[in-house]
Amino acid sequence: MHHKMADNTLQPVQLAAFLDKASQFGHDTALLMNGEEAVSFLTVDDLVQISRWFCNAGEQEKAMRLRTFFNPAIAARSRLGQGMHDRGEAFAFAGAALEEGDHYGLSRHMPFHVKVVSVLTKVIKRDETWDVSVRGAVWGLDDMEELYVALNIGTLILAPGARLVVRGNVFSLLCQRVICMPGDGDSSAAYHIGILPTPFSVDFGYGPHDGAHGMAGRNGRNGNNGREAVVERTLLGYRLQAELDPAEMNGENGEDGGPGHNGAKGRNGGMAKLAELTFRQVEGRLTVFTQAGKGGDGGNGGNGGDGGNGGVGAPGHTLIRGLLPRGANGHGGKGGDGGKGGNGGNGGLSSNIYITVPEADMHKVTRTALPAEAGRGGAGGRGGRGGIGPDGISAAHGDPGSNGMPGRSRPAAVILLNGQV
Amino acid sequence: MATTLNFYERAERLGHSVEALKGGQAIISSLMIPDIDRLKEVLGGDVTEPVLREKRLRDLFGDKLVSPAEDDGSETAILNRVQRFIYGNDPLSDLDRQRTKHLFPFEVKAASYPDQRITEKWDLTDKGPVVLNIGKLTLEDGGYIVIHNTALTFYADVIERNGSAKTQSMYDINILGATGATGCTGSAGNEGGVGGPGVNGQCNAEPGKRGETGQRGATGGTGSPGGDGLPSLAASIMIGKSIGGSTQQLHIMTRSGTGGAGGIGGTGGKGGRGGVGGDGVTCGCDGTNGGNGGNGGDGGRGGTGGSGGNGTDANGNIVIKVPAEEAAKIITHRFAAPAGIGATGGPGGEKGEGGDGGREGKHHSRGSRGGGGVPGNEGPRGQQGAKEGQPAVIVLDKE
Repeated sequence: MHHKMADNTLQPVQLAAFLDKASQFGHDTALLMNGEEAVSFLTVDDLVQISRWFCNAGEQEKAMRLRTFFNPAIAARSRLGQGMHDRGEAFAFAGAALEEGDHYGLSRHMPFHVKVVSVLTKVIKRDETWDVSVRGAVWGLDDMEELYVALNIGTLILAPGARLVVRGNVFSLLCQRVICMPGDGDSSAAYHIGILPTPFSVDFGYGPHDGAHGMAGRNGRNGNNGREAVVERTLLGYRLQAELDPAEMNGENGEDGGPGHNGAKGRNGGMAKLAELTFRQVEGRLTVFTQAGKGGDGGNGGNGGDGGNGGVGAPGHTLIRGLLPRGANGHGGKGGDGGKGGNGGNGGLSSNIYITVPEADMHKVTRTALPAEAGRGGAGGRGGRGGIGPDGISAAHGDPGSNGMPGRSRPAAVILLNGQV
Repeated sequence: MATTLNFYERAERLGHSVEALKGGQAIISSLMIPDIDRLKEVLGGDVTEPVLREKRLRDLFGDKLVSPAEDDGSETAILNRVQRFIYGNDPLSDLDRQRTKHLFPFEVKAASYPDQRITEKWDLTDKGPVVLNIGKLTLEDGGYIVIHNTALTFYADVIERNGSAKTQSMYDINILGATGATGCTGSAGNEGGVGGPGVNGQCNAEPGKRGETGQRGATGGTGSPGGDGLPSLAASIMIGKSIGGSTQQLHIMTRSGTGGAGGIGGTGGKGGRGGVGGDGVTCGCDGTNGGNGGNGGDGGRGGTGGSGGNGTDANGNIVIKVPAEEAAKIITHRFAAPAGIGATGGPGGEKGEGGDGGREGKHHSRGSRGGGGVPGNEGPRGQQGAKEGQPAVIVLDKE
């Protein structure tokens, strides 16, 4: 089904606001008016500048934000490293004062690394996704640095199934006019704007998102067969060529299997960061979605190693001196215990999302915020099989490892629409 | 069985059917000897004259000291007294009869061949004594007889030798010991222990420390010594009438058991892996570098090769009874049994791998992997066995 492209013209006040923001970003307004899209990767020296570029709220709105900024989910992490970032964002987006101790911590992140985009008219085609995220590699940074993305759009036209997403950047969108074209039932998109998590964990751990499976335990060595008596023939049958201790004729017991290694812990899910979405005019129904990343699954515990088989007793002989009985067979080694499953990672953290639209358009906005799912605990490893003696009797099998604990789900982001929860 | 007995008379004493033999059949049987007296009859009953029995005993086993049964219950002493009972004139004490009772029924392999033609190796080795009764034996070109570590009583009326054994170091009749068992390969050395991990970094900008060097792999186990050779045993070879054929000669050789080769030394243990470098730490929004991994340990030296076993002296002589006019056709050969060779040393162990670098703290670098160790050296060769084995004495008894 074809949709008639919407009229994308802006009112003069909207156009002026667009050009004003573009000028702040240092973008060439003439080129923008010619339809070009301007993208800059900048560094910003202080948080005041960040606030001026990223926060499009007035002082009254900021004050209102501040009253609920430190909601229980945000307050709970105030003592983590993220707490300092939260307070910095409260300063930039909600007019909070910075705590004295945070100045030093925030200075480690300065200058701030920012991607700014201006475009007069942006059309996201049917079922396409415009991912505006930025990663540290642009500036030669690792992925752990906090990065910022600001979009300045005149008219944003979202065809059916179209999405605009940001993954794990502090995000500001100033859009003078958004046009959400009605779906036709074929669209797979459930939202238009996605505030999504970093595509990697930002916890202090190491390794892959899903915990590595534990290695299997070492199999026990098979017991050596008993030492055979060296005999020589004589006129009367056999005699020992060299004396030996009859105990040496016994087969050795198999070695016990080694324990399986524990599965690694799943990493915490990626973090969805603060976003401010400002629309001066909304046409059609607009859905904003957010969910931080799922915690990684714990790795399965390694299986216990199998016990070694028992050695065979050496054969006996009829010697001139008498009967030399055969050696006893060795017992099988015990199977190794299975490794413990790794614990699942916790769901990712989320920050507040602020949506500002004209009062008359509030009913057109749908907000969906889901909790971040916890990772599953890894399964405990299987106990190793007991070794088997030459008599066919099996030694005890190893005990299975315990399953890992699932991680904790983390609360959904709070999405405030014009200051309302 | 005296050599004056003919082929059929000898066969009859072994319980073989004369009728079947006259029909051209060969008969091979296992005689289950019920007691020591019957064993004496089968193996030593062919000579009844006490003087001749005493001579044969000396020829076969030499002049050995005899210890009383009450004083010496060793296998060697028992065997000595039993040999004197079977081939000589000594009685066997009740004590020795009791000591040997568990060996019966005792199996002796007996075979009668009216006309046996050999074109390749004929190995008579068996688990018990062998009594071979042949009318006419033809050793064709490439044919020869060997017997290892087995007592032999051999009768043949006529032997014809055409050509030669055509096998290096083999003659027409070869009374041999057996080579001792090869030693087992030494056990592999254990892998060196993993180096200890470096200490983790600290939030005062201390990076993770370097991991410790892995331990040297253990030296491989010494190969076990080769077994001593197994001796050649007494053999009585009785030729009743003639030696003919294209060569008009019969070569009889003896060599007792060669010492077995030593076992190869065990492989040296692999060097231990270097310790993991200490992790850097993440302190708020910053961190420290991970420590470098420790170097891998050196590979262990290969184990010493096992020493060779000793050659073993013959345990019984060879008596060849032949008509006087044929005696010049018997050519005898006696060789010492060499000692076993020492085995090569085990290969050196692999070098240990360097440990992984410690993990990085936030915004910092992971430590680098440690270097590898040095591979171990090959172990020294084992020593040759200390002693050669003396061959049996060959006694030519011309009738």
